[in-house]
Amino acid sequence: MLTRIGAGDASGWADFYRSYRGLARHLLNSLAPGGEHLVDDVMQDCAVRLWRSVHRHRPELGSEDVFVRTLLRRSAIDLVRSRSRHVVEPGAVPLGDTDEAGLDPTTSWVDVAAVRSALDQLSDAHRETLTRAFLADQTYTQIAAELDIPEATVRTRVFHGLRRLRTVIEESVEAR
Amino acid sequence: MSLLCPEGERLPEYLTERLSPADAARVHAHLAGCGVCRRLADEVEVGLAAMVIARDEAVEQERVTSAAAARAEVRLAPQRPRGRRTVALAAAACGVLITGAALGVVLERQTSGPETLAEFTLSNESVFDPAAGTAALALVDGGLQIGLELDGLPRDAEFFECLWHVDGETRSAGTFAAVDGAVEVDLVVAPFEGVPSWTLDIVSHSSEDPRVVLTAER
Repeated sequence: MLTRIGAGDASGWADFYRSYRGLARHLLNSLAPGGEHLVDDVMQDCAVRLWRSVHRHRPELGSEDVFVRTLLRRSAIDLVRSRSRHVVEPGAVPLGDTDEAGLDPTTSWVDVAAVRSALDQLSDAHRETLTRAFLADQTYTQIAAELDIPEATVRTRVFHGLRRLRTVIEESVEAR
Repeated sequence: MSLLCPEGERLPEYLTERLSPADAARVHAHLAGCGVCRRLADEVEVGLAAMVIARDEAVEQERVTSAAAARAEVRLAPQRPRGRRTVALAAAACGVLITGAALGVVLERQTSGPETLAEFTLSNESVFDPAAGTAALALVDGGLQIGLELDGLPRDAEFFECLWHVDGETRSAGTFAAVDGAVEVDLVVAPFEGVPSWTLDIVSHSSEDPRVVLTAER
């Protein structure tokens, strides 16, 4: 797919939209409930990033699926962050043009405070493992050695910690 | 009884490029035929996105801290002191200590000095683009630590990437940001075995095509 996109082959873009639109909608459903209408914005932003960086993809370093997912994740996060800074409070008098997609007070945005709060609700084991793996970028081997646990346990904690994190975030957003 | 496929728990590693190419290919092939794992991957994606949000915050805090230090004209020592903080792959995560504390998680600092393997001078011969710096390679906890001290980096770059070339293979050692064109950071690539021949490139990423701004000289 990336080869075709890089060559300007329209079928590559068709595959991109067909394969990843569902993931974009899923991310928005979780990170910005009520903002599902922004899925086209996320896909468009990701397409631009993809077009600019497709030549950087090195198959020996990772699959194109992961390459695209990483860009899409970043597009969704950046859009949620930028739009959440411009939410119009209910009852506020709009200033100027309010047609821009995203200025929707019914959308609940997941910001860093929500993530912090969600992390606080994880078990100590899950929180520490996720922090080490994704904030300190420690390898599973390093985490296992420092926590004196099997690497398989690290793998299990990361997997279930991420799933639990998602559940807590979605529950907290729904409760707002 | 668990209905989880064996590949399920490997999804976080797959999605963050922590698997070997062979294992990644195996998980990728499995995903193509397993709807359960595709749904699991979507769930994991949300958790990963949340961690990226937390990480962005850590990086921003570090950027603010670094900028404040630069304004105070704190000059970094030319020689790296032993026992300095070690931050793993993707040096932008150097704000982890801040965030770790905020999250109630204390990550220990590296207390034992790494075993230095080699040092490089990184330079750019262009008169108009006089970036320069050093790279010190060391072993720490079984991983390769690449300590970078760089100055004169392009200020329009969004971020930089350290590429290491070994045995004909190019791998990314991580990305980092610079403040006022300067950075001092440790990247850790693990696991690491042996000391084959080395070259290092520092690549600038901006709205333009990425370009090598510094390269290693033995």
